[in-house]
Amino acid sequence: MLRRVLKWFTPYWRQVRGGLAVVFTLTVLGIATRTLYPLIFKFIIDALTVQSESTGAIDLESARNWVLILLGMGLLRSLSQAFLPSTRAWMNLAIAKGIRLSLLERILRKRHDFFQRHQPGDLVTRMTDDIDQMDKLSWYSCSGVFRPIEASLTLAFSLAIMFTLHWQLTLASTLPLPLIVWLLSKTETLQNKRYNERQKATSRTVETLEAGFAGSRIAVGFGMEDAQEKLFDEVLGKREEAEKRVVSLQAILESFFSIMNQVGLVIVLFLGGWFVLKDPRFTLGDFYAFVAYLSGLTMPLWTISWFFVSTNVAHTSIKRMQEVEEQPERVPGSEDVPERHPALQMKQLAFAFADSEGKRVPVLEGVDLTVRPGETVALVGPVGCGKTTLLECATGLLAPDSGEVRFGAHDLADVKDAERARHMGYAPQEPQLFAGTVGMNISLDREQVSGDDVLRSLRTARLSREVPVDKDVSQSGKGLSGGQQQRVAIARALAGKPSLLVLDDVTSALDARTERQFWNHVRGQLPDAGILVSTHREATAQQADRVVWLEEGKILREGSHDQLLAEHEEYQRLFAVA
Amino acid sequence: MWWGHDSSHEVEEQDRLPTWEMFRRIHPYVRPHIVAFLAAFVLGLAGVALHLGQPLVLRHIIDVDVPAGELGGLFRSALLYLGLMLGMGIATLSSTVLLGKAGVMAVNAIKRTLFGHFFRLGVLWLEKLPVGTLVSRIESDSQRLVSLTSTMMMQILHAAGTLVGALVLLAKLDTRLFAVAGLVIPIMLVGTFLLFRIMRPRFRKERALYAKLTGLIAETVPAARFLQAVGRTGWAKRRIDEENQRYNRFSVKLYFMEYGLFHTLGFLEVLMTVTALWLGGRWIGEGSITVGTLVAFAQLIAQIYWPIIALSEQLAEIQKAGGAADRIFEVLDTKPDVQSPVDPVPVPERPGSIRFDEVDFSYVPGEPVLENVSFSMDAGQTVALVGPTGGGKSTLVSLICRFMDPTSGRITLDGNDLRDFDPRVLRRRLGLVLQDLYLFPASVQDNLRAFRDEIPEERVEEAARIAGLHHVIARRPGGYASPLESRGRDLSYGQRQLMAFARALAVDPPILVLDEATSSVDPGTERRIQATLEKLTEGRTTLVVAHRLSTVRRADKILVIDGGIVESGSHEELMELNGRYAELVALQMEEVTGAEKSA
Repeated sequence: MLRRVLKWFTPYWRQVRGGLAVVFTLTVLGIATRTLYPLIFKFIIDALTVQSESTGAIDLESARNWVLILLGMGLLRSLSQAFLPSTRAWMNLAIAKGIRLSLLERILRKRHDFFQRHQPGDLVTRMTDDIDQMDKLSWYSCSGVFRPIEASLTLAFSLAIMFTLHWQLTLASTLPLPLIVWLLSKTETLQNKRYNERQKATSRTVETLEAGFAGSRIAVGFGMEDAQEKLFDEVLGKREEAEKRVVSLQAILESFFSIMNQVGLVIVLFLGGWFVLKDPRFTLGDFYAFVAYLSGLTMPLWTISWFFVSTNVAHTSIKRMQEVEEQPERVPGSEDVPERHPALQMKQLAFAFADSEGKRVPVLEGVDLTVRPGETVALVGPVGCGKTTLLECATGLLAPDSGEVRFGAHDLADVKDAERARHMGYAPQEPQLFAGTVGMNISLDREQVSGDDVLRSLRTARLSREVPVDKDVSQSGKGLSGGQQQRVAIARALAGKPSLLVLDDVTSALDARTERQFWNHVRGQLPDAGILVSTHREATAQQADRVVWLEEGKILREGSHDQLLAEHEEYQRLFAVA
Repeated sequence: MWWGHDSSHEVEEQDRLPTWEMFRRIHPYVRPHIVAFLAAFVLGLAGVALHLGQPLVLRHIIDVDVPAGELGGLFRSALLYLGLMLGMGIATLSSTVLLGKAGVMAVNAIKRTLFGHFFRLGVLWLEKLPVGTLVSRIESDSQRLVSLTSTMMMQILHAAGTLVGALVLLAKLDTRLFAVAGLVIPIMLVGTFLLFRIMRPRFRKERALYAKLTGLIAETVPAARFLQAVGRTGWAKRRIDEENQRYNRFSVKLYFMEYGLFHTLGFLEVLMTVTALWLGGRWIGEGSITVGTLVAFAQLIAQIYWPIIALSEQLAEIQKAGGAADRIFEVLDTKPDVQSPVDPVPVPERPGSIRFDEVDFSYVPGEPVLENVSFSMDAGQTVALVGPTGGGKSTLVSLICRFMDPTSGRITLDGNDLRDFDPRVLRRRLGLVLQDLYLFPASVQDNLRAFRDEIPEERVEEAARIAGLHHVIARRPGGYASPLESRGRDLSYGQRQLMAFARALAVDPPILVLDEATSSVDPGTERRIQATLEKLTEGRTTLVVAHRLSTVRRADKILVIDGGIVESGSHEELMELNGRYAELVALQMEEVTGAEKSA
């Protein structure tokens, strides 16, 4: 697992190689100053305790020299302590950004089926919590890796110095170490299990909270408050148990570490004291140094043991990243569309969705449809007949299973994304807005959209009198009403002066009168554009040059609104005033 | 976590609760576990005391046992040490476990209270804040608040205990050494306090920047497919990249400042030790101090530094907890706009007539949305609301649901003011189909019966059949017991709409409220529902809001709403009046007749 985790991080580490080198240098410097500190102390104690044979006095001169060295070492130690953690934090943040943007880029390249399987909230969690939360990817990427490196080196340096001072005492005092290591490996699985349980329970609570709040109008309107509270109470109860288990396990392990290490200290106190008595080469300074080194081993051991737990935590998050990474992506085309007003042509188009059991459910079958420049085609049919799917094939969002979508002289699938976007204006049924001004939401900072385009589109979308162009719409456009959001989305589709306009049932927020005015203005603004619009509104169907009746994924009728009204009973019923 | 951060406008902190007031307010949640908390603190302090014994044992060994050259003394000292450490280990372990568990329970008590209170505050309040902020109030703020009485309090006790204990021991060991420490420690204390003061507003800004970043991510991810369609994925990525960079730059500066300043202060510890050793060497020469004492001093000094840092850090945490406390208690102190009276009038099982008497409503004082609205609906009547967007139709619906109360005037149900009812009981008499089609991540069954266990399965199925959904549900693995994805994402938009209908049918309400219910159902489906609704509205008082006149013309009464009631009457009456309603109808008829002519 560790290898897989490290391998996954490698490309992100490469991006910050220089910074990591600094972290490594500071780590070594820090370890050197810290492990030498007790040794210098030893020399001071020795100088203060060993009496000169001739005068019987202590060597104060030498003691003071060592004290000055201690001062210098202390200064270096403080410096490394000041810069090491901050540099590590810097790297954590830099790597976190790398991971986040790489994940975002991948998400933005995914195919439609990916978004069927993954909910946005979950993806957002992967881009934030999985990276930024304590002990997760950001922390692990530098701090999580370098802290155990630092701990291991500290352990090694300390043991090496102890060994040179007195190898027998070193062996005796580190007797509990193997026991600690053995028990560590035994508890790792248990720790992981407990942490995972807690993580799951936490996610459940957050989900319950989010659902309750997002649906508050329905929850309150139907008097579901008690049910919601009961639901929350249940998940919270389960989480409480999981949290308590983690608390206990962690406390027991921590105390165990500390006590095991103290056993080593007791051995030093007794045996070390005994050596001072019996072995003239073993000084009081040596004795002190052993006490200091051994006391300093608890933390490194804990850090190393924690590394295995945190690697597991990181691995869980990495698996969640890889789930996203591994899923197929769209293959962008590479062709330009030089034509000014290319026609859209669908030939024998078929498309099927995979349902939750993996069965293919056909949505479109044998669709032949052409939208010529300057022509408005309205797509009409009952709910679930495939209108949105057809429009998404037209925009290139969906690739048909068979058949072809031609855009001008090109297969739409071969057209560059940027070219497609330049030619097409698209407003989906559910508008997508972003934090920023209304104007920014309309232009999306596109080069081809001027300030005038924005204002003109705002007017066409019948919004200019209601909402100023510099109004800040706040996150996801929440500062606007649903109808206003929809009209911003329409204005956005118009503003790019597209040669093909694709609108998915976007006029439902307009009343009939406004809807008519809207269409007049659209034609005024884009006289030569092909327009493909799905609708169940008569005002829209009426102004179309051609209406296409879609039912169960097939085009059953085609003609003018009047023709269809005359010839097609279903269509007639659709719009007849009851 | 992306919900774990408050958006910038909320991070501004004012009118902070005084610390003692905070403790007083937390008290009720902590009280049930007070014994555990107190025991944890006592045990924690005992651990500190035992830990402070360590340098003294070492001193004894160096000064007494070793010079005496007696193995028995050494053995006794080592055993004493072992005893101290075992005692410390056990005390710390029990303290941590007790504290951890009591803390978790206290946090959850606050979470439960908050969750319940949020819903009591009502829809308008809930909809004012983003879901992420609401979740963060419950998740992070509660946690932070309770840490005041658990981890934070423990660390403060631990730090203060160590500091005081070490100073007392130093004073007993040697007054001159105590003087060295006594000179430097206050400087460290004051220094760290000042530093945290400097840092505080910066930490707040850091959180605000992170909140902004997560906000951008949260709006970008759901828009991923749209961004693909319009070729703006690069733009979206740049936006997040820039925001992330802004956050990183600020945070890095903050980290360097934080660690840099603290370890500059930490260097004072080195200075203390060095001074003591410098002077102590001479005192040893004079014989006025022992080596053991000097070693004990160095060890005690090493134990003082971290408590000082921890103490100041925790005091800063208290201030952060203060922010959390402000937010939590501000919410808990907020009185719901819509309150249940102390002695509510029982809501009739099948209430019928609704009356509006000169009802005004404004969200912002002085900007009325509805003015002087008076009308009545008799039991079993259907009243339709028509009028332009923003004219106040939805507000009127919200008033009937008692999501809010009129600014003036009154609404009565069977003669009783709505304000005399318990709003929860009142709403159980309503069936709603709102613009918001929200479905919960629970089973289809629970969604359809609005979590009311008393509604039998047959009725749920019947409702689904009427809405034309039964075959869709039956096809799902698990059928009615199958869980829906959050927001019903595994259903199409149209199916979600039908689910909302079925839900309103399943609860069999005496009063039916349909707000824009048919705006996105195709007219064919709408007509199917219409036919069913006709049967359903029989015996029910029904309020319908719709743009399309075909769905409302059969209503017993039609109200044209535009800031108030502009016209009212039956379809025929209003046509005769030849006013706003007639105008709206003409607009629709024009389309139809135009079509008929060409047919």
